[in-house]
Amino acid sequence: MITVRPHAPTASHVPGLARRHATDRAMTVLLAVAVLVTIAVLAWVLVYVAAQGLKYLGPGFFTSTPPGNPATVGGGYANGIIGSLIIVGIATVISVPIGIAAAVAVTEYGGRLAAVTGFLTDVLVGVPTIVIGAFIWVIWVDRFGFSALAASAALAIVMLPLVIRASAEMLRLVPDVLREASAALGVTRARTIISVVLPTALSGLITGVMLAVARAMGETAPVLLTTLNDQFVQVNPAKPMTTLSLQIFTDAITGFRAAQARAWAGALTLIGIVLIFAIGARLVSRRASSIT
Amino acid sequence: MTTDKIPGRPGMDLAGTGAGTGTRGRIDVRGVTASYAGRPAVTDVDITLQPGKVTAFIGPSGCGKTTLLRCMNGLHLTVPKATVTGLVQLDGTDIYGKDVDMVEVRRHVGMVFQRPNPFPAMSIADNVIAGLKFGPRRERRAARLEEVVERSLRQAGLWDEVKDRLGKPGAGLSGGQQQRLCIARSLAVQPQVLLMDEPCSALDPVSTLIIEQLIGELKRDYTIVIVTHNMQQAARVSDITAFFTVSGPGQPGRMVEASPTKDLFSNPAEQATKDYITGKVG
Repeated sequence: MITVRPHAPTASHVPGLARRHATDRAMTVLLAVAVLVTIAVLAWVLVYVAAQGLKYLGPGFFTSTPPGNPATVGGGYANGIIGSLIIVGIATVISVPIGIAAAVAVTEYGGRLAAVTGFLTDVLVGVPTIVIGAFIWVIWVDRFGFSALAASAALAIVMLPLVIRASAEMLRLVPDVLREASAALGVTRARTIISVVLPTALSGLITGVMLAVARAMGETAPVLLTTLNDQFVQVNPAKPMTTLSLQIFTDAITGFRAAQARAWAGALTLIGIVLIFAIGARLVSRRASSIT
Repeated sequence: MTTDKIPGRPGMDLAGTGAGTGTRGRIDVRGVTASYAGRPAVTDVDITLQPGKVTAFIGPSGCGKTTLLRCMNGLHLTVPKATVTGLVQLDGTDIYGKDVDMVEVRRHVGMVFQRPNPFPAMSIADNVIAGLKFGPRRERRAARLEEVVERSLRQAGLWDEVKDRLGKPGAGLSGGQQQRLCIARSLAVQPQVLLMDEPCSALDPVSTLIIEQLIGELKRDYTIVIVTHNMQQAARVSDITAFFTVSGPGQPGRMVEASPTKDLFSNPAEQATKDYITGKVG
């Protein structure tokens, strides 16, 4: 025999059910509003930058340098685009190997040194980037002058804690059973990390590196203090070299309409470059994780 | 014991050491106590694991059977603060000896885990040969990798099911197939001992049956140890059964007896064993 409950579980018979339903609805609305606000702000920024930037952006923007007089209409940010790619590229080459190695030390080996590294990483994330720029100015620029390399060093310091944090997070996600499986095959710990742990975490590592690259691309303060806003295309990293962020900054504060138009176009270009990198990294990591 | 070194240590060719022939791979456990952070999980175990035989470890949860298993390839010591006392000998060599390289020991003592754990970033073929590719250079050079892939997958009874998709990720296989892939991966480095930690507990009955049949075939050539919660499984696959028990939560486990499987299940020597196999406790 199936015993039937005396009452169907309707609102009138279950104490508090009506209140639970009301709470459920209220929270659903609250979360939906939070999501909408987030998306709206992002969309607003993107649409506004795109609308302003597209007024001036054209093929010539990527191939020409700014006019000598900022009030003049015309010219582009070719030198800044090249500068950003070179400076951030060098900063990436410096910070990524060190950052991932530090993350490996923190997550795979542990110990006191790892704990200290983890703590310092958290501190370094919180240091204002202008302080890092000032630091490089004091120990480098003040003695040897402005250069793209100095800017790369500053951006590498900005990127380092981001890379360490994101990588350590991803390495922790690799299940321990995989490390044990590899150890049980008679594979050394070092080889296990190189050949099992890092490849398993690869797509996450790439995402973390991309976030750091995007952040470095947009950084202005450390660049301002380490490399000059050069007006011409410069590819020698030992020389001062401008960046997109620096050009946007200097043009935006001039007050000339022509300069501000260039700054908007530059902002859109910067977003575009970061977006292309992010999509490219996603494609690479998808390929890497789906075959072999 | 005649040998005082792990076979195949410095300069020896592993392929010629009798790997997989059932003549080597005897493990002697003498007075072993394994602890986590000073708290013993299993105490004072004596047992000998014979080549060509399947030894099953049975007993309730927390009795230390998996911990003991992990002492036989040193994996227990990878847990922070874990310790082992007593003697574990592989063909007469103390595997915890000062001059013994545990990484090398593990090439003789393979392990299959409770949950199938193929390497997710690798293809089926790469999973099989992972131990060789990431192992000592001399073995990597000597091995003919395609042959190893086929031989190991055939041994694990998986070749016919995956031969057309060796380049596909191992994670795309069913649970039972993944577990056989993990067995193939262990066999590829040609161990003499195969430790199996509840290899079927995450599998359905059909996959379990296939793995059990596989164990029956592999035991000719390997020393096999299987930890299982399932007494029927122990009765089906093992030649020798060791029963472990634990007095209560937080207490260390101990081995009650180890006997030929049919004797242990028909005529146990100890009352504790009898109570367990007849379902009175546990």
